[in-house]
Amino acid sequence: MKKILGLSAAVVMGLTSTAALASKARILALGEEVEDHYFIEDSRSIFTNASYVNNYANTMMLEWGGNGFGNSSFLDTDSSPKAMGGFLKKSGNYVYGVYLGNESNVSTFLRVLASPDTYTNGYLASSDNQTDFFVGSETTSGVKWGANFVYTKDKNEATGAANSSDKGMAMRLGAQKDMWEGYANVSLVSESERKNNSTPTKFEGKLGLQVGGSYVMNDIKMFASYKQFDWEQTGGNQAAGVKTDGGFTRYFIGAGKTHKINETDMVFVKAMYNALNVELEYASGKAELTRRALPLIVGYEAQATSWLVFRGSVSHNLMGTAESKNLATVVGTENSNMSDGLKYIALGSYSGSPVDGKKTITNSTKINTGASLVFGDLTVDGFVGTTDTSGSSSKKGIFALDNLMTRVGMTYKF
Amino acid sequence: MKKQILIATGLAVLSTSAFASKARMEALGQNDDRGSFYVEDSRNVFRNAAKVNTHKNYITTEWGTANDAADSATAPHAEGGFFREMGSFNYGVYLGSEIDAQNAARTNYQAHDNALDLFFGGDMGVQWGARVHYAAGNTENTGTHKLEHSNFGLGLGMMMGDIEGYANIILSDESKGGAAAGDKFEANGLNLGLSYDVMGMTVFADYDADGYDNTVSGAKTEQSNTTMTVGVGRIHEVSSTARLNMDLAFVSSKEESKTASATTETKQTKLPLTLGFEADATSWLTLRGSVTQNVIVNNNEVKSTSTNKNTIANTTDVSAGATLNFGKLKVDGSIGTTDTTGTAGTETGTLALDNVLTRVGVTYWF
Repeated sequence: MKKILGLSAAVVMGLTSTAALASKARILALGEEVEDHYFIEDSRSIFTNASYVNNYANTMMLEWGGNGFGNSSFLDTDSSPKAMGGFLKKSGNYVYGVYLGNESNVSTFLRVLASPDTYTNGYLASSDNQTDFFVGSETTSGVKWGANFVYTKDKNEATGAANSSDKGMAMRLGAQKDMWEGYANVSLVSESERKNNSTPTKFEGKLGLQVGGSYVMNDIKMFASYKQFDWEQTGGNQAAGVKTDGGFTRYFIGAGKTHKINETDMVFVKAMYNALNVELEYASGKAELTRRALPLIVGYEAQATSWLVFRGSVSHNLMGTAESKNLATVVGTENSNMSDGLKYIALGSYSGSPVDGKKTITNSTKINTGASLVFGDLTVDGFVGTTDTSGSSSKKGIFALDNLMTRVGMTYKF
Repeated sequence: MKKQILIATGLAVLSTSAFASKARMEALGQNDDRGSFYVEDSRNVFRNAAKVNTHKNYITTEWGTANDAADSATAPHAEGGFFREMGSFNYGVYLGSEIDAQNAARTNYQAHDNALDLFFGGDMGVQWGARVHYAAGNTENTGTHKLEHSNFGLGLGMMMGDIEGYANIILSDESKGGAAAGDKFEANGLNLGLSYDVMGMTVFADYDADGYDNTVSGAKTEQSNTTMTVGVGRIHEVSSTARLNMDLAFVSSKEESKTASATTETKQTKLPLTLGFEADATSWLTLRGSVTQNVIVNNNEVKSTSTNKNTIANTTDVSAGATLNFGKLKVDGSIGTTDTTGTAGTETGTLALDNVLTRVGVTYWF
């Protein structure tokens, strides 16, 4: 009996230990993305499916970082992550929480595309000081549900100089039970404006929608998601007052299997068809990026010692193409030099190029590795192996103790 | 059983109050110079001198540069002191505290330097404490005029049950002789506050005003800074070795710079929310962290020849810190403040073991 109790306790501890591992560094090390990840369960899942708040009650999460990379528009990157954090707390049958600073990279990406080319004069402002409010519960029939309201508003009104403002609101709704989950996330408001300058620029979100779900059958998790965001931009890198319609569409269909080796270790394999389309209907002709990929991702997470968890993944496109059309109009005078701006970099992150044509996505084999230092209920997660011998952010196969972890996150279960 | 409960309670109190540093206050999202409104730390003695009765019998040192530049996370200022129990009274001596020193504005003047703070307090049903701040210096170089500075300040505080009150006043702060012999710099400062513990929370209100008049060649520049803070904070004790802290405060501030020809006025209203935790990771290591951000209210207005209105950008800040516990000796520091190349203050989410702690403070409890 004691053994059974002990085993039960160990299983519970194992679950607790897994639940305590929760950060951007963790999901990235396991081959996921910071936004819109679907397979690996992590506290970051609450930003895709709000019902996951029920699985991470009584947790405080911190992501170390600064303002992010950029100027007026800021991207969360591996070498310049954004500071963010929040908590989830159980109260009676409900779980509630507040998360601070989780601005969307996709949202920033679209604002960058809609901005003038003159980076030094400032892009459209990206969302800032964002607050996410969460609430969730579990029904008597065992269905977990959750809701997430997103709010952000900022402005900069200077007399006689360029003014900027940005605001956004969104609602995320999700549910799950045992083998299935589903979610619908809707953008309610997404606007950014820069005026009182030579080319007033405005970004007005129209339809913003993300729906998806997953189902587990014979230990295989099948998942699918569809995301669409349409907008109208005025000015930007076109003449003042000229309106351009834009659209961002992305969908995934995939399946994966997790094999639990024991209470603490697991390996997984997943493959998904990942399609992305970005288009801007310029008067001079449509600019379009179409990306299709079928990455295979294999990964592991293992408890190396009582205080150390290691994880890693390798991803490789079984098929991958990117077709760029008229993107030179979007990029304008910017190039690969970071000081020129983010447009080239942002499009490049989705394999876009200012040179028209269709090509295979090159160098798709990627290794990501991470570790967690586990101190009971307190966990410190991070990327490992992300710096070269001089300490610069560059993957050169080096395990550098002086930069033990990057993109660090802390999680405390209380 | 009673003894066990008493010991457990004692350990809980000891583990909380034994931490003492600017790095700890920053990691928990609190004010690093005068300390917190509700998180116990020996830094709070600079806010409420009656805290000399709470934190006693220790020596603390804040590592940093011996200079008169403003103290900051990336350029900390060397300072430290000791606090001792003496019968039913408590006293302390602290060296190098330059809160509200205004040295950045004292160009060409003798700086506010070599500061000495003397503390004395007792418990007579009402806990009380007093702090006297003194700093003086001069330069008499042959062939030029004399530069001199003197500062005298007073801090008073009381704690009675759930109520605390304090006042910190600069009684005089004057630098004479700058670029010219007749130049004069006069600074002022007043900090008043009250707090009340109710339903497990601390409700606090704080008024802080400081500024200076700077007369150079007969032309006067006036600077005044006023901040009003009203908020509520709560500590949630998860266990004897772990706790959460959270606070929400409405902060209204106004800064005014006035010269003969121009006036610049900056007004801010904001509602910062702070969420933090502190937990013993092992017997020898305590980790802490916090996130803070202005929520809902976040306004900044600058009026000069033109008017700029904006929200304050990038207010989301995550701080983290650690304490290495060696029995009575505690080594506190901030963590994650350097980038991968070791550049200070860059905060790129790096846990760098070659700069494992920054803004280090060491405290020995005896």
